Amino acid sequence: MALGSIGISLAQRRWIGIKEIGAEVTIEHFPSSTTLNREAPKFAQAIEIEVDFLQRANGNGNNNNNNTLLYYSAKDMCMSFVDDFRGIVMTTGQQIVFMFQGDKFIGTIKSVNFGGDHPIASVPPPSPPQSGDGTGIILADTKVIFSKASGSTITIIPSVP
Amino acid sequence: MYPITVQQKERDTIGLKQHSPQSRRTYVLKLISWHYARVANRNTRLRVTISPSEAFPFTNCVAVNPLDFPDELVHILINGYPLTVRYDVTSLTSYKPLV
Repeated sequence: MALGSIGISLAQRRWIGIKEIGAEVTIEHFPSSTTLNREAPKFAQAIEIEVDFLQRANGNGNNNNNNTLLYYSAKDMCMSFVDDFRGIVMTTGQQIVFMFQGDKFIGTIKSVNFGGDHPIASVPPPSPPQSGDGTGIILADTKVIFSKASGSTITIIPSVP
Repeated sequence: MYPITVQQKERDTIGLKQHSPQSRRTYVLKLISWHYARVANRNTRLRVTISPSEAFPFTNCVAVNPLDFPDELVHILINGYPLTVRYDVTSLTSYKPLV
């Protein structure tokens, strides 16, 4: 990455509202003294993600012509997810992409739960998010709850308690 | 965005030859101070480019140069949106961005 440049993926650019490559963006430390309403990110106790196929390992995303298994274990997905994204921040309303068992998925963060006295941030914040309440850091013990996106052919087998 | 361009650096380096070692040391110290102040504040502007590889978007981080961010996995706000930075360790290859 060239000095003075920042590589931002398509999903992230859509979320932030960046329309073109080469645009300049303002970078602030998180938390920053200049963002008075912003709190430091808290550790996420649980997050809820609505998922759909982005691209399957042996076919295109979300098509029904593929005869391979469309079932995924929620427990296995959760373990893989926290292993891959430990230490990074995720925010309510953010679009994320991830891989599991060779398939590529796109997800939308529906809620971030901090536990304790902190409320669940379940409503997508206005753009840009004005407080740190909807932003949490993924930890090894963060519980990830996957749900199927509307119209998706994916089936997630719930974890047995 | 960057107060010191390559041309300015070259010009200043040439200019330093005419200065005493003391003023040269002062200049270098000022340069280091400026760099660390910039890193500490991080209220700067960067130019948007695509992810450095097809795999990088699946980190859900943004790719940065280590000189811009000495600490990897630090959290930043881009136009107010929180994301985590990660160093680009892949080589830039031509690809069609999927995500």
